[in-house]
Amino acid sequence: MASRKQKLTKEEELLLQDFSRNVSTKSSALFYGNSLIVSAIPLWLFWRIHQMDPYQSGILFAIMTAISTYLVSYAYRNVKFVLKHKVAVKREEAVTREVMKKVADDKKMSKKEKDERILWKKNEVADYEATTFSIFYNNALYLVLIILASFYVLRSLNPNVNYVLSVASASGLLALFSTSTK
Amino acid sequence: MATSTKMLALAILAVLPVLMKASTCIGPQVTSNVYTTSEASMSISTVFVVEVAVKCNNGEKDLLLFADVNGHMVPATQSGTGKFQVSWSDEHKKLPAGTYGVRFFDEEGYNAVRKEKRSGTDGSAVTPIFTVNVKHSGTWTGPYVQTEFVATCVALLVWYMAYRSKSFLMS
Repeated sequence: MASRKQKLTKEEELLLQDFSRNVSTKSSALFYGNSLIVSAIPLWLFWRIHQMDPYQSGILFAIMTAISTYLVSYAYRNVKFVLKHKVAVKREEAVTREVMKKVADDKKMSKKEKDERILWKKNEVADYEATTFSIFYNNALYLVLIILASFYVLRSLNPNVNYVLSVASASGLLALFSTSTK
Repeated sequence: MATSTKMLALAILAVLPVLMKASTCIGPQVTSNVYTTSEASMSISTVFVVEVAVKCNNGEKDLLLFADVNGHMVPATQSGTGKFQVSWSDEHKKLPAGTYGVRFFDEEGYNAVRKEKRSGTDGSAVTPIFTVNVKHSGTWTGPYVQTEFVATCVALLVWYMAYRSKSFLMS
């Protein structure tokens, strides 16, 4: 039996993209870049405030920053996925109005084409807003967790132990909370 | 024999005061340098250090000075020719902000103060050879609110705003 390859329509592609947790290369680069910056913030905190020597603790810093970068970008992806659909619903009316205003005078465009364009624009807006909001929310939560862990919960511990446990717990909890669907 | 011995003892007694005459500074010109603890967060007590350079008009160099520090007489350490240093410390609350007058005495004055104190008075009637006023502006005990507390509050506020926006989007 010969296999038939069916070309996906634009609508089907968008739907697949919508329900997939995968992100585009651009979004992935954005997530990893941001998570690296955020994961590097505790380095300055522990170097200047907790007086850890950056040369002596260099390997520890590198390992924990890498782990934290991965977990924070994982949290970004999860929160973005959950938010995207909600944002799409909230912005649907405004996006439809805007697109229809642009294409109203175009008589050559069929209704199907107009609907596809609306869907594409809605997806683009929802994707962008969900990405930026996910980064903002997760960064705020990560910093709160780091400050609470390093200055209050673990303050009496040795700085090296304090660093490992605060970064691990902050990024771990962030990843855990991001798996919530609410 | 006994008479000559008595005469010798009397002669020695007469000369002794001259030989053992205490050095007195007349018309002292004093320059002082004062240090007091300014931060209480890194220290457990307040320390006062008074350094004085004394130049006497009568050219006296072999001075022996004593300082009246909060009612206690302490010897001043000589740190160089004509330079003396006195230091004392106590708990922060026992040395509050204010001006402390440190009276300096020579040997004679010191003995006079001791005599006064033995007779029940505080020795304030004895005139010092000079007085150094130490101005202590108090110690800083740290900020009223810890900086990490402020950072925590700001971080929590930002997160709360983000959480409210997220809840609105998820509704």
